[in-house]
Amino acid sequence: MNNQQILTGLGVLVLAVAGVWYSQSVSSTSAPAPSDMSVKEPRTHVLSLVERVLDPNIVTVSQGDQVIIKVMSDENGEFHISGYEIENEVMIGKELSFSFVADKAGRYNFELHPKAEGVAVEYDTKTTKDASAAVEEDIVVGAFVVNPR
Amino acid sequence: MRYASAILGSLLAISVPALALAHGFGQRIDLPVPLYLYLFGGGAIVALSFILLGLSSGRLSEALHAYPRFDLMRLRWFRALSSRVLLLPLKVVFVVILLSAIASGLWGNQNPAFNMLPTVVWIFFAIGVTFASALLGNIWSVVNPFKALYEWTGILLREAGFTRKQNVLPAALGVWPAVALFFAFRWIENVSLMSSDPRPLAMFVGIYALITFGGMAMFGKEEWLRRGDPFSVFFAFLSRFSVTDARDGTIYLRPPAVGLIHQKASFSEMGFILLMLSSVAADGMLTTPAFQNIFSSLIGYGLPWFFVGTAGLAFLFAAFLAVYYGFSFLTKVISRDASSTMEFARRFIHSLLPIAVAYEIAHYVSILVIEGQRALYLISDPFGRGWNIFGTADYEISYTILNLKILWNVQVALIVVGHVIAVVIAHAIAERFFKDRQKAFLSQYPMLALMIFYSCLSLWIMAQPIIAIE
Repeated sequence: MNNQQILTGLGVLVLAVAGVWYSQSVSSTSAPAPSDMSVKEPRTHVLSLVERVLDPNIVTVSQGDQVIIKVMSDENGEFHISGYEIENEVMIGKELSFSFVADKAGRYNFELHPKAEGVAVEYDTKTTKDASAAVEEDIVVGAFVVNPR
Repeated sequence: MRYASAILGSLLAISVPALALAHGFGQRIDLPVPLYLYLFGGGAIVALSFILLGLSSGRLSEALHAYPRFDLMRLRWFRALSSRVLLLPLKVVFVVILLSAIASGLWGNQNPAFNMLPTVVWIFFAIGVTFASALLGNIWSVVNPFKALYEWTGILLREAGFTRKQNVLPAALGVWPAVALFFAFRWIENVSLMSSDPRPLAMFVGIYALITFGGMAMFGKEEWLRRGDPFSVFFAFLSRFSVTDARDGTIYLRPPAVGLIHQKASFSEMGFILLMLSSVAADGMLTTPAFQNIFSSLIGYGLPWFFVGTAGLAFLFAAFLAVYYGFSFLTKVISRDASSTMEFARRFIHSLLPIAVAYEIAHYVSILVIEGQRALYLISDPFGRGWNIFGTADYEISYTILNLKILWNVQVALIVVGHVIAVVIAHAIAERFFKDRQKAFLSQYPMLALMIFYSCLSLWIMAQPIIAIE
C-alpha cells in the first residue's frame, strides 16, 4: 500500500510540474508581443529551380506575413503553390516575382507544371478530356510552411 | 496514406525523375506537433501511468465488469431506424455509391481530385467508416454494399433454381486469410504508389469484389465475412472499442472500451490486431525523416522501391509481433504465473486497441476535415466531366477551417486519453486474470512499459516533420 501511495504522489507531482510548464509554454507562444501585431516588413525569398530541384526547397514563414517570392527557373512552366492556388508562369532567363499574404497556416507544396514542347499544358483538368497527361506533369519541388500565429 | 506516395515519389525522383508524380489528393497540410506539446504529452503519459498504477484496487475490474448497458431496442425511434424498411434504402444508397465510384474510376476524369473513387475509398471508407466503427459501432456489417449485392444476387439465383454446396474454411486458418488480405490493402495504400489513381484503384476494388464474392460463395457468407474479409474483420475489431454492442439479437449502449475487458483473442486474431497497430503506425512512420533516410539509402543501393516498401511494412509487423510477445513473456516472468506466454499475449492484446484508436483518429482527423470537403463538389460532378448536378461543382476546399493550434492540442489529448484508457483496461484484465492481487499488480509493469513506449511512439510520429526533401 505504501508503494502505491508513493507512486501516486510521484505521478501527481510530475503532472503538476508538467501542467505549470505547459501553461507557461502556451501563454508564451499564444500571446504575441505587441510588435508582432503590427504589419511586418515583407520578406523576400529567392528560389532557384534547376533541373527540377528547388533551392531552398522549404520556405518557412509565419501566418499573416507579407511574402515576396522570386523564382529563377531553367525550365518553362507554371509555378504553383497548392492550397494557396497561386499559379504564375516561369520562363527561362526571366525572374518570376510575386507577393501575397500567407493567411493560411499549414504545409503547402511548391509545384512545377512544365510546359510540354513549347505548348502550354492545359492544366484546368476539368475541361480537358483526358487529364492523365496533365496530371503526370504535376511535380512537387518543395514545401511552403506557414506556422500558425 | 496518399501522402506517403507523394513523398516516395519525390524520393524516387532522386534516381528516376519520370516517376516523380504527385497530386493534390491526400496531401496533409498539418504541421508537426511542437516540441513543448510533445514533451508535455509524454510527461502526462508517464505521470498518469504512475497515478493509475498507484490507485489500483481490486474493485476496478468489478466496477468495469458490471458496466451499465442500455438496450437500444427498447427505444421506439431506434427500432424504427433499424427496421428493414429503413435499412433497405440505406443499403441501396451504399450500393449506388460503390457502383458509381467504380464507374467513375474506370471512365471518369483520371485526376484523383476530380474523380469520386479516391475520395470514396480513402476518405469516406478508409477513414470515415474506421472512425464510425471505433466510436459508434459496427455499422459496416449493416451497410456493406458487397454483402448486399451478394445477398441480392443470391436471392435471384435461388429463384432461378441454382444451389451450391459449400466448402468449409479450415478452422485452423483462423482469421489468417483476413490478415493476408489486410496486409495487401495496406500495401496498396502505402507502397503501390498508385493508390489514388482512379483506374488502378478501380481495378483494385474490382479484384477485392471478386475475392469477396468468391469467398462468400465458397465458404458461406457469414463465415467469410467473419474470418476472410479484411474489412469486416477490421471494423469488427474496432467496434469492440465502441459504445454499442450487438448481441442476443439486440443492440446495447455501453461506455466506450469496457467491452475490451472480456475479449480473448486467438493467435490469428492477435496477429490481425498487431497488423492493425503496425500498419496504422506505418503510415505515419514511413514519412518521418528517420525512416526516409533508411529508405533512400536502400534505394541508393539499387533496391527497387517495391521491395523496400514491402519489406518495411512486413518488418514493422514482425517488430510489433516480436515486441509484444517479448513483453508478454516479461509479464509471465514477473508475475511468476504458470500460464504460457501465449496465454498472456492473447489475454492482453485487446488492451492495446485504445492506443491504436486514439492514434488513428489523431493521425487522420485533419485529412478527414480537409479532404472530406471534396464531397461537396464531387457530388455535383462525380466523374469530373464538368457536370454541375447540385450547383456545388465550383466549391473550393477551405483550409482555414483547420486551426492548427487546436488540432495539435486535440491530437496530444487524444493520445493521452487513449493511453489512460488502455492502462485501465489492461489493469481490469489483469485483475480478472489473476486471482492473486499481488500478481495482478506486478504483471502490470511490463504492459505499462510497453504502453508508455507505444503512446510515446505515437506522439513522436506526430512531432516529426512529415516530409523531408533534402
